[in-house]
Amino acid sequence: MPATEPDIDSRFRAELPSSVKIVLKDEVPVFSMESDVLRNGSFGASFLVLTGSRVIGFEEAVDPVIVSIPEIRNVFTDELFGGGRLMVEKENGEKVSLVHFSRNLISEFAAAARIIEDISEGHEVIFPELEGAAFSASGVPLEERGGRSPLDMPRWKILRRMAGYLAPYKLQIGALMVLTALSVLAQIWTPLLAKKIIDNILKQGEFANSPEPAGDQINKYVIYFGCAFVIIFLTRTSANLLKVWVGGRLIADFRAALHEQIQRLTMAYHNQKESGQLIGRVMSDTAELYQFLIEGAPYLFINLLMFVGIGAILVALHPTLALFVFLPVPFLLGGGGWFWKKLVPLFHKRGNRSNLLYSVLGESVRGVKAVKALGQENRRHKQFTKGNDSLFAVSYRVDGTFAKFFEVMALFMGVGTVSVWYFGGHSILDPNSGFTFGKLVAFVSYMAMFYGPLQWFTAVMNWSTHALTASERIFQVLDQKSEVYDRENAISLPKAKGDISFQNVRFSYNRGKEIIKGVSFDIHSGEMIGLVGKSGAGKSTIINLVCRFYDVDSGSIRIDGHDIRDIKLEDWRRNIGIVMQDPFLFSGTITDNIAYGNPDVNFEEVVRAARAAKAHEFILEKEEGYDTVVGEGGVDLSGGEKQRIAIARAILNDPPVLILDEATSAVDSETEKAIQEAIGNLVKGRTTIAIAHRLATLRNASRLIVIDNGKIIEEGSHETLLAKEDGYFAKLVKLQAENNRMHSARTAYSTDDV
Amino acid sequence: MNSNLKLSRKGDAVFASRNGSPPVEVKLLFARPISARDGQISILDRENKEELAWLNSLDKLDPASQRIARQALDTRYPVSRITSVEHSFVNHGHRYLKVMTNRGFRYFNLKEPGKNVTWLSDDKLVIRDSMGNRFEIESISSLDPESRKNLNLVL
Repeated sequence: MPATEPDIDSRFRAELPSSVKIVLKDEVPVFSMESDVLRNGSFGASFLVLTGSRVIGFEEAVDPVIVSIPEIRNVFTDELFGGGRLMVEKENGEKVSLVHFSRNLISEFAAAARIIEDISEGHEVIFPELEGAAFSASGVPLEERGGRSPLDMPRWKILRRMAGYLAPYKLQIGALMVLTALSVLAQIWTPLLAKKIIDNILKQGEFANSPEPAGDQINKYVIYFGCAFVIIFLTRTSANLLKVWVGGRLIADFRAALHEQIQRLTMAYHNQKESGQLIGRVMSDTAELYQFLIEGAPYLFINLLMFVGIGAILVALHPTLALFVFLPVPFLLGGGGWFWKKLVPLFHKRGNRSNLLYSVLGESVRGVKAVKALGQENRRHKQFTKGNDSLFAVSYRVDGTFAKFFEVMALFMGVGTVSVWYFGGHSILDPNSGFTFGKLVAFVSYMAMFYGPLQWFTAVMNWSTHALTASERIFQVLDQKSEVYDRENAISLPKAKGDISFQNVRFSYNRGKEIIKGVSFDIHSGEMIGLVGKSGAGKSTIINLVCRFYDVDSGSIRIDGHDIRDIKLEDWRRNIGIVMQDPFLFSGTITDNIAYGNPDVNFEEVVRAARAAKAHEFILEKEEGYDTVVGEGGVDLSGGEKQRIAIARAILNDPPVLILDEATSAVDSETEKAIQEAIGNLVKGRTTIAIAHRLATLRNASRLIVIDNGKIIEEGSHETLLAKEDGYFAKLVKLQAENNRMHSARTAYSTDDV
Repeated sequence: MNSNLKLSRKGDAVFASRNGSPPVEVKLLFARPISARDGQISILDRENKEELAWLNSLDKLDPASQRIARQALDTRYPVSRITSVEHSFVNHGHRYLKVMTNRGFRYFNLKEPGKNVTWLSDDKLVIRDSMGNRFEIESISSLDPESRKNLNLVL
């Protein structure tokens, strides 16, 4: 009977049309899924329904495809161009397609195939966790499965979340706002001082009879001016320093949070993402946010204050004339918006074409030898010229639109200026108006401060949208499910004995496409096990599961009798040493790399490990010995040298469980001998799981486990398996021996030829 | 010569036999499914993936086999040809297109046009959406002006 699970993905619970319900009669669906392609290839809704007794592919106006469960021999998805179809192979060998689907639903129907297979084999139904959907809940197509659509993104939510990150800096932000407000007030004050000087002193108006001499009055206002500029200098400098500090600190916090999250994200997530994408989140998105925080956000705040402050002063000075100043505002805002709407797609276009040109140029430079060798210089140059002209065309449009934008904005501002001079001038001439020359000068000064920022408002608003999108992308990474490091009551296992047991383990990377299909085996402490099989058979996946880079879909892996998921993850990983085909070396000295998992060991121990790993001599021969810097930007080491450093690292860590993943496949025979000796020193007394392409290298294994298509097909000692004439392993060994003979013959021939 | 190659169907599977040999289940594949879908067809043994035959055109087959081959190829290569671009917009750096195709309406997200748009000529292109679905435009110049304008906005 199907298991009922409360949190089954809604994609397994499609809303069925009444016509399907009629076909189902009283049967209760185990699951029902909606597809987006009809069997004739057109886009449209079709349905897949599984009941306890049959599986049905349904489309409107077409006979349903019905297969009863006992008839099913096999269920699989067949990849088509731009999609796929779910097929059933019946016991009589006939294959029928139940439902077609686009690439948007590949993962969903792969999972469906697995469920149907489970039920047809009489297993308990486990609804796999599906990959994220291709569309958001509101129906917007997403850039990546399970992502979030910017169209569905409520800004206030992002802002609220951002505010959470700003909370530790609220004092600094408060101070920043006060300083900014003071600076704005001081800036707004200066035209008023000019007005006072003109109207009260220079014009010898109502203060002509003041007991204070005019010269003293000028001095007083000049001091006020000086004070205003000093205030502006002090407040702006302090505010600038503060905003750079707060912005920088906030971004540093984001980068740290992202880096920590990236370290803890599941391997499944890392497999789906390109490394460049994650690096982009840490560096580019945070940089975009930083630029906005230190430039855009203060711009909006300062200019909003200015806009309100100056508007109020203009109304107070002369309400009617203020209206003429306000007249071009809608045009400036609207015009800015209109131009910006035109410019944004052009910016994207220019970015794309520029990237393409970079890529062509990059290939031309990096591939110059191949281009010359193939005599394709002219063709290559034509390709560059085409891209170059295309970039010129779009750049011309961008810059041309920009140039027009500035001039149109200047024209709108000109309308305001002309109106103010016309009506202001006439008001001064009218003795009853009360409007003075000083007020007119103040008006004109304020106009420049008022209009200037307006034209950029839309651009900065747009910029804010980009910054919010960048933050949203950052939050998406931060919100990803990270590895479950410790279950509740997880046990500590500082030093494992090394007994490993797989019990009916099933696993799939893409939830539905099963890679390990019910595998069981036991490895006793201190045993060396060789995993053998074709590429894609599931060997590396078994190793990934032992390291708990992934959790099993069903079944269990037990370490010293404990379920691997009940052991503290960091504890378990410290119990494992891995030597891979192409080990990763970090930037740093050879000493740092050997001691990477154990940075507190003394140098003598590092040397002892290097000796045991047969690495000591080649390290000494390097000009800088153990101080040689390797990794990114360091000295290049050969594959064999890197492997021996990795072996030394593993020896130093002294793990009870050792994993050798093709540790000797990429080296020449002489180096292999040295590595084999090093490995011989390493495996003593440890539980070892080894994968080797060269089957002869597994001769020392206590037992071999032969895997094919995710299942164990043979198990036994090297000799036992070799003795089985029709055995899979024996065939593999023979095939490899033949290949080796052919290779030797070819080598001999070419040597003779030379 | 492939005239002695016979195709047959059982359910939705296609079988091939040559010179009366027992039929084996096969897959028909275009060698160049994007740039040349008018020939160059390989018939692969579905089980061991070995090529059983290469056809420069289906004309070499008998009429019944030709019908089966065409049907199999149509099923395997459901090509979406854009007939009009009804709407397009750029939002937060994401490009969205609502298009009508020969197979019906589609709304999709186009990521990085530099990588996901393949120009087969100055007038013909293939777009791959963010999920990997492909859409072809046989001739941009044959699209209506509104479609061209919408397309131009995102490409």
